[in-house]
Amino acid sequence: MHVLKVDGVKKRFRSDMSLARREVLHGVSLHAREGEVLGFLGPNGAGKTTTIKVILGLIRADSGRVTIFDHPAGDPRGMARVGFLPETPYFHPHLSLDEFLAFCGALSGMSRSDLPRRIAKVVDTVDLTAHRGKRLKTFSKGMLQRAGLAQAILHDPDLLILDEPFSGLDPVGRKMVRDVLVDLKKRGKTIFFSSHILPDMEALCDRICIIREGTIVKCIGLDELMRLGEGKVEVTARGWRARMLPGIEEYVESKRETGVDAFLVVRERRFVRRVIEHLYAEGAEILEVAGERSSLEDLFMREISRPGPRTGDKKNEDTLVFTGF
Amino acid sequence: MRTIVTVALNTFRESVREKILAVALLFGVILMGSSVFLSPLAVGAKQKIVMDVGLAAISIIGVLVAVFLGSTLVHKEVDRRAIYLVLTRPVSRTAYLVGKLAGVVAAVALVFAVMTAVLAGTVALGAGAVRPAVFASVYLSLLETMVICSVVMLFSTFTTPVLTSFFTLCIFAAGSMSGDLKVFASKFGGAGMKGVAGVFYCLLPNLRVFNIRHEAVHDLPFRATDILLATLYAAVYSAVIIFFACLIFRRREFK
Amino acid sequence: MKRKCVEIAVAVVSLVALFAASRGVEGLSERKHRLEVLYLPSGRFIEQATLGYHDLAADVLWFRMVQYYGGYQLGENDLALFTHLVDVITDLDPQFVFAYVFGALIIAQDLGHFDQGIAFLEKGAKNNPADWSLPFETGFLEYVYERDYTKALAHFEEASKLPGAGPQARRFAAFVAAKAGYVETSIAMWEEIGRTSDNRYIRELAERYVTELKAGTFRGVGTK
Repeated sequence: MHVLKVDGVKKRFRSDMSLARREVLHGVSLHAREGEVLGFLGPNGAGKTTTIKVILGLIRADSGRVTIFDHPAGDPRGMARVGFLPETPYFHPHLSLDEFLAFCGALSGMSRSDLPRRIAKVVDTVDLTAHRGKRLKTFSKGMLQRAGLAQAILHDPDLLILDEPFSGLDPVGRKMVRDVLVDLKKRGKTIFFSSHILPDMEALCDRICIIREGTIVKCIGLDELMRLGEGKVEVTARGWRARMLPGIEEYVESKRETGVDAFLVVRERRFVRRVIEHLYAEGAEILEVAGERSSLEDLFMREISRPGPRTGDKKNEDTLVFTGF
Repeated sequence: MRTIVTVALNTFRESVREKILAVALLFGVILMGSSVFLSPLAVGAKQKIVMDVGLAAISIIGVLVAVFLGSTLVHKEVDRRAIYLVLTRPVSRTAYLVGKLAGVVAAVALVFAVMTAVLAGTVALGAGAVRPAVFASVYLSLLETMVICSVVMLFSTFTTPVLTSFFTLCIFAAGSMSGDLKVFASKFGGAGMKGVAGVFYCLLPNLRVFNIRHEAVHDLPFRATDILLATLYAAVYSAVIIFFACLIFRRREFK
Repeated sequence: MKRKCVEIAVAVVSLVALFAASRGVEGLSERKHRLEVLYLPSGRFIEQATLGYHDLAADVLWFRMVQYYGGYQLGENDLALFTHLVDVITDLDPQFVFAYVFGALIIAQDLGHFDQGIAFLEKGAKNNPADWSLPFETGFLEYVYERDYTKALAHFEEASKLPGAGPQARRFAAFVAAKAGYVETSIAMWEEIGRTSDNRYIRELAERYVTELKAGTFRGVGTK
């Protein structure tokens, strides 16, 4: 069953100083199945947050359809089962954490008797028990992120929509968030989150959708991602010289040089022998031959480096901003 | 209903913790205190002046607090994106706005209660008596504030706090003079002018109906039916303005 | 350290300059203050401009008027603007009874404009028909300044019949009735006062006046 369905969503925005409208989402489509963790990946300005806002009813799509649990976007019946964490959350500064969570819980329709117990539990989960009575304006960025996660899971939603959930957190905090998401996944919750931190996505997601310039360019399952790497072989050679490349160029997909060593990715297994024999003949030493597993990073870089549907040959350099660990 | 109450309580809590409320209250108390301090200069009008200043302070500060709170609270939540956490819950935008209005009015009511107590104490210290008309006047000032709050909410759904405050204060001034505007148009305008004036007369809040300060100060009679009529007018006017505010707010996109 | 000293020095000089500037424009401000009162628009216009706070505006002008009269007592002005001020104040707050009373008294006594004083009291009585002090004060002015005992009697009688009227209204009416030559009326009034007053001294006084009026020894009896 698809918990979240986004079909052909288009959205235009009018820029501040002109009457002309610019299309920012060009028919975005993605579905999240029940119990799935769906990652949402894209460079800055690709349309991730806009898509999320359309899903949540904060923005209206010009065309297309969004349903959450078969209810239209923004419908209270669907929203009652959704937990949302915005990017760099900011809350009511004068409220204490307890008051804030009680406010959120009441708005989510939680019963007055359930609230105290549930608040205590989520506060403990995000490790903010010592700060319950403090005003949110005294919270650091990391603490606000945890408080944001607490309000998102407070009412035990069936669908979690998280925009950059790891933002502002130290390694301990990121581990905490990962553990929470893993636990939610085990309990059959559906999670849809965007992030720049690729290793976390690789570790958590069942499927990933890559968006670029307002278009979904690829949706791929992690198991499929792993199979993409099959057939390629990485050869590590010492004593590499540039003059060695002609003769094996057509067999080598990519190479990386570090001083005297070179790492050559051979397109297919059947070309490995020819490459090795050529390298030996040129005087290089073969240090290692290993089968290569394609990474999310490689896939991402490939997808966003291709000429896009809107920009032709223009390479997107925004990808350099994300970090991996 | 629970949503409205929840948002109202939260807004009330937030308003009460705003420094401006304490400052406004302090200012009001100082103003009333100064009227007592200056009353020896009043020569024969001491009680009148204490009462005039007290009731006017309650009214003016109520309007100013309503304009400030109303214009900043919604805008701050939107600007800081705290509103996302509200509107992404099973909460209708109408309930949110109504709750916000109720919360601001409740905060203003608290200010009124404190200032009325101070006024009553001041009058009692001067061996005067606080007549029922004084409480009726304060109640009507609260209704007036509720009407002004609804106008503030309307503007705050689509414009900045500065413009919201400016427009609302203009509406307050025009509403205080709406009867005179109508008379002026009827004396000096043609049929077209009269028609336009008539429309504006209905659209602008008629704030005179909420003013019995004069009757309260001079212990003049006032009709209970007038209070009831003013209450109904305030309820209808506020409801209509909030309806239009909700129409705009429902269409608003949070980019 | 040097920078801090410079800042303190500049702050002190600034404050001195501010005070000097303030004193420098004092004369101009005073002239403008006088002009403001002189060109004070009508009460009706000011009422519209006060956005419903006309009582407060009346109080502000009342303070000004009191200061203005105090200035007159000190020889600073000639009360030329007093009448206009009282007029505006009573337009803004028609129920400000003391303004009519005080204003009428000053206008009649200090300015010597008796008719204008009476006119203010009549304006006040028209706006406050149930207030006894206004016809009472009118009677008082008629008695003291015009010596028109007949008119004074009419006003004192009118005052004494209004709700909450002080006992002095009846006493003044009785006293002036004799002055106006209405001896029988005066005797009847004093007899009633003698019967109804809860003050022993007043009762004795009333008894004495009745005796004197009947005996024809009451001083100051007038002719009709």
